[in-house]
Order: sequence, then structure tokens, then C-alpha cells
Amino acid sequence: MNSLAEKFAELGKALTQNAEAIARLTELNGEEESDLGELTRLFNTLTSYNIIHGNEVEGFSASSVLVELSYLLNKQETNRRLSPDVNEWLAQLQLKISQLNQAKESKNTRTYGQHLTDIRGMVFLMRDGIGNEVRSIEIALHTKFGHVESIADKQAENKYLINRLDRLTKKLLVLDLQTLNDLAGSNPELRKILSVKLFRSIDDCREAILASIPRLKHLLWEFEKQSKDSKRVWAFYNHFRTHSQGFKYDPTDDELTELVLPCHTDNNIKELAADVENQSYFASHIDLLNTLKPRHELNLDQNQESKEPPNFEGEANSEELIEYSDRMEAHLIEMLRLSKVERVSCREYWKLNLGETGYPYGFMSYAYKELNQIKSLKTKRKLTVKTKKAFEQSATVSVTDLILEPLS
Amino acid sequence: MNLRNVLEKLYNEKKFICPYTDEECYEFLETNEGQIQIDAAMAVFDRKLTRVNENGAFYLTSTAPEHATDRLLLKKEFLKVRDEIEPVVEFLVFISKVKSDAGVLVSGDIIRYAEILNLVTDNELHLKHLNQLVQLSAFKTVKKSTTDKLIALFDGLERLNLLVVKNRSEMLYQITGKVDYIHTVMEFIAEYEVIAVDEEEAEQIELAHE
Repeated sequence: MNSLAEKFAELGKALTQNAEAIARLTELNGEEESDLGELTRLFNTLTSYNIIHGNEVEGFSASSVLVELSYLLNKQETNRRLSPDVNEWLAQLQLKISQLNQAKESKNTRTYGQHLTDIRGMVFLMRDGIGNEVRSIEIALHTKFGHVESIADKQAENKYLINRLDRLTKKLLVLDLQTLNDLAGSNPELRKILSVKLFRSIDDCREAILASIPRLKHLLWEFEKQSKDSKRVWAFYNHFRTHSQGFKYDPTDDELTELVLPCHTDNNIKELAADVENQSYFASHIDLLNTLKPRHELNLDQNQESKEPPNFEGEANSEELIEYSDRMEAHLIEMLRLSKVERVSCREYWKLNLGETGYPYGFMSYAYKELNQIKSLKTKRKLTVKTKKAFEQSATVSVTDLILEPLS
Repeated sequence: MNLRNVLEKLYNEKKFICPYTDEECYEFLETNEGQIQIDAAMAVFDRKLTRVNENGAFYLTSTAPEHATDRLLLKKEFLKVRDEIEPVVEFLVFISKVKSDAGVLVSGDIIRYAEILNLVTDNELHLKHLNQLVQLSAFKTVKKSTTDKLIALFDGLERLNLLVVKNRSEMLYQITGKVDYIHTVMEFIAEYEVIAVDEEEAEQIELAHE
């Protein structure tokens, strides 16, 4: 076991044996406390590594490392481990590099190795920190600051993050490739750590931050809008409570145009024709037709029987009593008219007059319903309904054709 | 995407298309190609595709608002939406009182009927508020039970296209993008009817009246 591993093992024991006291200290967030109950001998290990500060006389307090660790264990703010202050970090790095160079000149391999490890640790901290910054932004953007409840807090967090990222981007600009190359000098190990690994992380982070700032600003705009909308809802609510007359303002045409309101055409003026040929709409058409209000009953005596059979062509539309409220009604009347003198198949009629093949399901279901409502039909026409089963064992049948014939 | 289906939804069914009402259709309309196709198809009717706040739900608007017919239709639409404001506001405030952590609902927010029913049943004030709500014509019902009154409320909002059912069996609803349109109209009305939205505005209005 190497010495570092042994130190971890010792630290683990110290943490285990003094867990109660440590938990109490972390709750105090850095405040001193002298009465921690019974402490074990290994508690001194924690103070020797500066994980816990103080002594028995003045009292103990938790270090920032311990407080941060407790946050992590509580699964709170796991993404808030931010990058160190760049200027301070840079100054420390310069100090470490000069110590490393001195160790190299004095050919002290042990000290050199130690300083190199420290530098690696510092670079790791910076890379880890900026990586966390980017992850933290992504989470905030993705969840729209879901960890914060109120809109006001979301706005505040968003503003803080924008300011922080703005400052961080400027600071990261300090760590450009030239600076890192100058720091690394001709040392190949430092070049690998600083100019390659660190610079790549910084570059990726800078790009991610720059891409995130507009998104954050947009999110901030959304929060501001949401806040304003929310206030407006309450203002209207109060208005309805105090003003019983409702709204009076009559907007001008220009104001209405500027408001870009939806312009819904009345469907009886301009409409898209129903796709009666499409079998997949058949059920919808049936449902739709069943919801329609009953039409005027077609009166064969009034509308049709008064006309002489040879003069039928094209005259139906001139009948004043018949209101052709739609295309289907017009075709049904035409079919009835023709059927006075000849056998008329609904399917054939559809094919001949509309040039469409296939089953006119919509029309047939409409015609079937209407014809069944004409009480006088039985005395004037013979109606044959052709059906087929939807499938072999089915009890459901669908109408495939309607045939109207004059009664002989 | 079937262009005919999209056109029918926009033109015949007069729908606001947002990601919560029709995700597939919304994605199609978000594309350049989709917008070009719709605009081309609708040009003959003097209609074009537009969006609430330029990034919200899609709907059709007139390209010829100066024409008498469209001017009349726009006026009718304004009067219609103006009448929808009160029930919408009452509902938003009701939910925000019943479920205080929800705040004022925004498009995309989910509402669970069962959760609201539990909260309402446990509170006399909420029950009273619900009774007031079902007096509004948009939610009017003759039913007596809280369950039925709440259903009447949700049904009314569905009819107003403000709510869309996400799961019928679990009675899970979602606020649609139409709410943003209502907010836009409210913003306009607030300006002309002099309704103070925040404290600063309220003070200014008071000073103007003095």
C-alpha cells in the first residue's frame, strides 16, 4: 500500500469514528463549536489534514472541503462545484511552475515530482470546475431552472448565471494558448498538461458558454414575460371583481390588424370539400352526419312528382322549394328525379356524374339515412340496399350500394 | 406530413397548433418548407401562417385585413376572444390558489384532475370559488357534486381549446399554446382599458385620475 492510500484509509477511519461530530460541525457551516461530545483519537487526523479547523480550547469548525462534501452527500448543489478564480489560480500556478523549475535546476527529482503532481492537481481542478460550469448551465437550460420554485427566484438565478458566465468568459480569455505556452516554456510535460489538455478544455468550455449565453438571455426573457403575464392575470382578476360592466374599448381596424388576430372564415362561405372517397374517413363522416340537425324532409310529391319525366334534365336546380344546402343533397335529389323513370345505382351515379371510382361511403350513408326518412318513398320507389360484411365473421355490415327504381 | 390534414386543422377546424395539441403538425409547420407550403395553399383564401409571439402556436391570419369581409371577421374574433378572457383568468387564478406552488399556469404545464379534486374537496374556500366558476357561461352546469363541477370546468376549458387531454383515463390535461394568444390580447386590452398590471403602472394610473 502506498503512503497516499494509507492516508486515505486513515482518513476513512477518522471519518467513520467521528461521523456524528463531523455532521454536527457541517451543519454549523463554518461556525466554531467546542462541545462535540466524545471524540476518538483519530479526530486529530482530521485536524492535521485541515479538514477540521481549530482545537479543543477555542472550538472546532468545518473546513470548506468538509462543507462541500456534506452538500454532495446531501445531493444538494451537486453541480455547483465551480471553477477556481482564474487570476488566483494563475498566480498559484506560476508559483508552482517556478518551484518546479528550481527543483529541475537543482536536480531534486523528488521535489520536482511533487510539484508536477501539484500542478496536475491544479489543472485537474480547473478542468473539472469549468466542466461543471458547462454541465450546470446545460441542466439549468434544460430544466428551465427546475430546482427553483418561484418565477422571481428563477429570474434571479438566471440573471446571476448570465453575469457569472459573462465574467467567466472574460477571465477564461486570459488563459489563451500563448499564455499557456509561455507558462509551460520548453518543458514537454507542462506543454502536455497546459497547452494540450487544459487549453482544449478551456476552448470547449468557452464555446459552450458563448452558445449558452443567448439561450440564457432568451430564457430570462421568458421568465420576465411569464412574470408579467402572471401579474396581468391577477390584475384582470381584480378588475373583474371591481368592474361589472366588462370591457368597453372598441379597437380601430388598424389596431386589430396590428394585433394579428386569427382570421377564421365562416365555413359556409369558403370550405374545403370533404374527402368522401377516402375510406379511412368513413367512420368520421358517419359520426359527423349523425350530429347534423335534421333537414327539411324531401317531399317527392311537391318537388318531384309535379314534373313530367321527359323534362327532367337540369331542371331540379330551379325548384324553389328545394334548398340545396350542400352538394350531397343536390345529388340525392337528382338521383330521386332520375329514379322516377329508370333504375339508378348510387355507385353508378357517383361514377358517371362525378367521374370518381370506388365507394362513395359518405354520400351513401347520407343518402341511406335521408331516404329512410322519406315516408312516401315506399309508395313511389323501390329501394334496394346492397350490403357486405365488414369481414367474414362480422355482424357489422356496410352499405355498398343503394338502388332506386320506379315502382312498376 | 399530409398537407391536406394540416390545412384542414388550420382552416376548417380553426385550430391553434402548438407542440401540446399536435406535435407532428407543429414540427412540420416549424420547417421552412412547411410554412412555404401552407402559405402557398392559403394564399388563394387571403390567409397566411403566423405564430403567437413569433415563436408560439401556429394559426392562420388574414393577408388582406383591409377587405371588408376580413375586417368583419377580425372584429368578430376580437369580440369572441374578449369574452373568453374572463373564464380563462378565473380558471388560472383558481388553479393558482388551489395549488399555490403551481403559480399562474403557462403553456405546456400539466394538470391532474385527481390532484385538483383532492385539494378542492379539502378546502371550503376552494369549493366556494369552484361554485362561482361554474356560474360562468363557459363552465355552466346544473350538476351538484364537486366532481361534476370540476369536470364541467375542465370540459369548458377543453372547448375553449385551452386544455388538451393527455391521458383520458388518468384525466391528465395540458395547457395549450392558446394561452399565450389570450395573454397577447389581454396585454392589448390592459393598455386600452387602463388596467394596471404592476404597482408602478397602478400608481401612474392613480396620478392620471387625480
